[in-house]
Amino acid sequence: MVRPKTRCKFWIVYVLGMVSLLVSFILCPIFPVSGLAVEKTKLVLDLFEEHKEPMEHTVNKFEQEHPDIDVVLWACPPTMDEHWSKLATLLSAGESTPDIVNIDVIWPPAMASAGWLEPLDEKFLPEEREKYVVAMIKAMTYGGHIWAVPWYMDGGILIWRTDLLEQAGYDPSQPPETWMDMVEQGQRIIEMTNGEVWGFVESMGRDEQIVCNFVEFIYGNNGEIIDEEDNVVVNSPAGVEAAQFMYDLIHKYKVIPPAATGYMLEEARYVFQGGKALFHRNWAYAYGLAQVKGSPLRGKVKAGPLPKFPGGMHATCTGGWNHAINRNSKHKQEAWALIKYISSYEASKERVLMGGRTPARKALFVDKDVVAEYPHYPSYLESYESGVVRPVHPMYLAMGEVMKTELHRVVTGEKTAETALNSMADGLRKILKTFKVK
Amino acid sequence: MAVVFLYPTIATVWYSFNRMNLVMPWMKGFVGLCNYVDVFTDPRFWNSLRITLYFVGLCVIGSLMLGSGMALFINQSFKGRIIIRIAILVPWALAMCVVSLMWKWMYNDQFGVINAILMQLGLIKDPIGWLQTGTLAIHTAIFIDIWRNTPFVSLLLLAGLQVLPTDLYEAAKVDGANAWRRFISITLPLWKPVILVTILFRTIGAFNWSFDLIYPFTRGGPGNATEVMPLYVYTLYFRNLTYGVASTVAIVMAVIVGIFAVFYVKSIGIKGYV
Repeated sequence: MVRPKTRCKFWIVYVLGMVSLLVSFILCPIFPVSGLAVEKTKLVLDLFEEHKEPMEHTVNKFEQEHPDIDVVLWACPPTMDEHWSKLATLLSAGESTPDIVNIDVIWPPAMASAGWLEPLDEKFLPEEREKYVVAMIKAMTYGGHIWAVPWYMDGGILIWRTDLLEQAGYDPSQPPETWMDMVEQGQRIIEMTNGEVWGFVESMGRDEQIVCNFVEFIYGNNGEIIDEEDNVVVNSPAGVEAAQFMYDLIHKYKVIPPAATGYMLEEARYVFQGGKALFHRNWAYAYGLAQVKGSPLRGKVKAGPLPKFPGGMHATCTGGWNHAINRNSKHKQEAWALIKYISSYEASKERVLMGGRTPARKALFVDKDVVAEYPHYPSYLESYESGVVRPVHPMYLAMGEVMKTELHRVVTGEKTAETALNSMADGLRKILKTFKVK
Repeated sequence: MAVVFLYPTIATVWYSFNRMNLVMPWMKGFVGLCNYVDVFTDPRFWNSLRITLYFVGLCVIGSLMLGSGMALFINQSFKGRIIIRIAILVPWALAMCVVSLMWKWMYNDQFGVINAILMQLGLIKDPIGWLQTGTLAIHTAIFIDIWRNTPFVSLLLLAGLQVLPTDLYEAAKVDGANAWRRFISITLPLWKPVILVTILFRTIGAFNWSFDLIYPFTRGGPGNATEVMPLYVYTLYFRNLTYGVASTVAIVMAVIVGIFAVFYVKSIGIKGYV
């Protein structure tokens, strides 16, 4: 039995310990470890870790021209899901930082509708908007306002092995014109290498990526997901054909590894990078990585526009990232000054030549110095100009969920293309109905 | 405690009675049980519930069978017992996300080690697409969960075994009871409270931390075949931003786990303790 006095002392110490712990947790944020420079305006910009170097170069020059502004770069989480969650949490809580948010091309309508972004109509003027690809600007526009400035543009391209294509007896410098041409060439290489090398590889895992791929097939077949009058038309015959083709690639034509239905983006790229596929559909970065020094595919690959369906168009899904201003930012004027600087022709050009990603301004793709370094850029621009956008709607993320689930069911054979697309159309209509404009 | 635990719980319950979609902030309002009706009439919810209960059920049974066997085995004295005890703990020491990704690469059809071994042994001709069908995917996930969590189960059960009084066994041997009889009449009844506590922890763990396993592994695919409830709630909250519906599902989840907990605690009872 513990003596009463000792027990009393124990409780006093325990309570004091708990209280001091609690107090230190509460006071912690008020006394941050690093001091803040009170005189300078601090701007926070969030961006991808791998873009830090070129962006730091731009940002340093900006700071030299604006000595009263201090720019802090935040690293985004590596996956889009986490990035979206992080921003959704910060912005819905009304945080004032980051001042400039780095957003995916499918996020502006949702973020604008939620009231998280500052409209840029007066700042990002129509003459400037014309310098960017139409599809990008369309994706930034919602409710009659424009919400972000493109930072870099991306789109789906076809990458192929020139050596293998030549081996198969085709012209190595020309991509297949139609999807069936690609299937034919792919089947040829499978025959020739006894199944060692696949004809085609793309990510068909249950992720946003499969929606991007589908968009390319359906628009390439002259179909649409939601038409101009907001009718859901994804389950039109063109759409069903497109979805059926995705299934056939695996199960009928057998040009793509069946396990592609479990591949996320990088896993599909590894199959191509590991030399096990002739054709690959990916974003522009994959071509860059294939050509980097030390890559076994260096000099053996070429990139070009994606094939189309007969009578259709060479559709590419528009992707890319953009800069928007946080509505609760305390330094909106300065944030705009930074965005304007980053997106200027000269600053963008410098970053491109430093090895940054593809630019957003159309003119940069055909700039003399850029083309000298990257001769394939004009063909990218050709692809991107026929870019299509996923539905520009605040509830796109919920729609994307429905779409990726049903598409995944098609490619794994769980549902037929027609049934799945009908379910998808029902799901999309239900979501559209839930959304009521203010 | 109250701040960290009560406030979020009450907030979640409140949200579940409200229409709340962050993308339409102007449409807020109390809607009573509307969200609950929406959730209980949504086939995706029932699919998720069914998958979660199946997953949790098999995981708990599997790791219990394996874990009790392991605990009984390492309770014996033999040379190298210490090393075995340490080795058994290794899977549990790894973070679930790491385990999930590691196994995902091992199960990769093109580059994975599992298909490579099976093909070398001549057991299969073509590589198996482990994550291609719903059935294969969910059972693969269950296997990984059992692999990773059985050490925890065996540790708890071992602790329970080690406090069993040895004199009872001696008395039973004197009375002529064989090993099986000793196990049934002495070990099991005295072990029961520890087993039930272990099952309780394991059930709650499997229910809640299935997210850590499934998200990196299949993201809920193929289709929705591995969409466990925590993943479904995460999607509703963070992708769709429909806080009202998400909170409803979260509350339902909490109630289900609560029912399990009450059931187990009642089963232990006071009589179970000697």
